[in-house]
Amino acid sequence: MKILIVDDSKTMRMIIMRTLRKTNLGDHTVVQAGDGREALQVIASESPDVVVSDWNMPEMTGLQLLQQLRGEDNQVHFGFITSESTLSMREQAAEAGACFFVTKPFTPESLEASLSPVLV
Amino acid sequence: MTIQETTPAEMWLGALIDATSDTSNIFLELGDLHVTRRSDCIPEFTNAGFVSLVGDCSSIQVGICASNDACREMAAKFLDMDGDDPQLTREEIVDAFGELANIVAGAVKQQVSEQGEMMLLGLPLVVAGKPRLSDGQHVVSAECMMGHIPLALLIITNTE
Repeated sequence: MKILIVDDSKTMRMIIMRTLRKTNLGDHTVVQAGDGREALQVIASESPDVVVSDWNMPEMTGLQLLQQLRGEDNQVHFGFITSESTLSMREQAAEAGACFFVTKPFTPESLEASLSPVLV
Repeated sequence: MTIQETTPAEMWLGALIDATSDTSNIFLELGDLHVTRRSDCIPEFTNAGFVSLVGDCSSIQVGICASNDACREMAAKFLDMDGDDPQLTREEIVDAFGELANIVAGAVKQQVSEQGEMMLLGLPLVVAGKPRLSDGQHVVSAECMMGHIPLALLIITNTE
């Protein structure tokens, strides 16, 4: 399984990678991107199974990234990990086709609970 | 001056202490946060990370202050590096400190929202130097130990 982590913070990318290692999600490889635009390139070259994205990023936000992917009929599993979590954000994410929405700080258990249904 | 947890600012400070303690446990594995002193002064630290929470009824600044060494240690913990690793850059330290401020401010917002106050979360801002209050601003702060790392948490409100 290949997981793409999209976040403009290197710190948060490291935290997500470390947390993923503590889950029981099985073997996985991680690829990274620093914003939505870079993520499009990585998705094209790496074909990840899951995309885990921040919401607010420079160049292209996580929501714009998801909308562009679905507009191109790319149905890769996609979810958000973000500091802010409003009902409006969750509704926009679900409407755009997101599979999960995780709020920081998250634990290995909460991350696994969000990711495991889409990896079945 | 010692203060009691009675005003909205002190309630927000309590939420900030809880959020930082959670982050210390979950992401830094440094255990619970220990508050050593509460006051209504800006603490004496050399770096500060701030995030604004803006609501219809009130706006606040959520802040974390720490020394250069403390910021470096926290960044190293976040990035799985040694604190004295020469490859740890200033940019990475600023990123880590800003992300810490972002995480705890998001958690404070969540707690405050659960009590009915809707607020928007700003972007993190990291500054070097001791912050100063503008006219009409008020601060409540808590000096803490995150494991062996000293830091201070603060809430800045407008007195109007």
